[in-house]
Amino acid sequence: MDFDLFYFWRRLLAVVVGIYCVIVTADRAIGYWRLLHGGERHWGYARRYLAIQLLRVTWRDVGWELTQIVFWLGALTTLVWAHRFVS
Amino acid sequence: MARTLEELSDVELRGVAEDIGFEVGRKESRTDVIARIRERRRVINEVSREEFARILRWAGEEVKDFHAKDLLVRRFYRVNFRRTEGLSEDDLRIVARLHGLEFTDDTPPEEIAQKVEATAKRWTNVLKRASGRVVGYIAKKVAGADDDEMTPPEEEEKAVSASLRKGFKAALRFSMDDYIKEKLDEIEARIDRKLDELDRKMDDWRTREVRHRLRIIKYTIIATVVVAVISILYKLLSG
Repeated sequence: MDFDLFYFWRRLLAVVVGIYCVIVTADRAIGYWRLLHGGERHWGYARRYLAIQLLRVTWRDVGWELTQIVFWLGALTTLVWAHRFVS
Repeated sequence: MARTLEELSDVELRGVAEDIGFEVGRKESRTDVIARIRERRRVINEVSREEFARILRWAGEEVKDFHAKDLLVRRFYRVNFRRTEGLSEDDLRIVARLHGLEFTDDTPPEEIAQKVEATAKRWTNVLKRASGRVVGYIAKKVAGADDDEMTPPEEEEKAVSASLRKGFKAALRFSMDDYIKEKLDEIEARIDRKLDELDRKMDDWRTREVRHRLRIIKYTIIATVVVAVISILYKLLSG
């Protein structure tokens, strides 16, 4: 079996960064849940207010960032797809 | 949150009753007073703000467009209806209804006017009731008129003085009510402005926060693209 250091590094990077992303996202999600799950009336208001705040986000606020994300995702997909044709 | 009538103290209940034109008897039970207040409020609800405004204008009171119905109701019950000339038949019926007088659709307006005028003393606001006679009496005293002719009998003098005291108390209470209402409105407006400001700040904070998160995602994707480019170049060169 051929061992290639670059491929090993690439795989390792994907696994480490993937696990890191999952942990950070879960940590943040648990943090928010702990903060907002209270049954008291003021936490109910806070939850509703947060939902309203998120619903009030407009395309003008985040449109440019989302466009860039779509562009880079397109570039990434193209590169991954292009790997098939390089031997 | 507004309290129900049952939750009010006896003094507060008496105040509410006086606002809508009747005095509470010493021996009257709370249940009776509450029932009377409810009935009177029901009748008041059937009368529109415009009708109150019309009657008050007839009585020579100034009514502005921004005056709320509650205020007009309180002012209505301070009006003295001992004379009802010039009041239209419809308004006369409204006045009679608002003072709990019994009559039918067939009752002639003269009879209703008579009833209203006859019962005026019982329900007229004490300040108004006292004002005419007391002011006249004081004016005559100040002008030095003949004592024998002008001095009222002792009992009447006592009644007038009690009336005047009650009148001042009522006037003071009404002024206090208006003042407190005005101040509460100011405080409410200030709180609203503060809340709006906070809301705007929260909006800015939320937009910044969402943009920041999206930027992190973008940089992560760019880093992945860079690795993909290195990977494809490596594959090309090693192949």
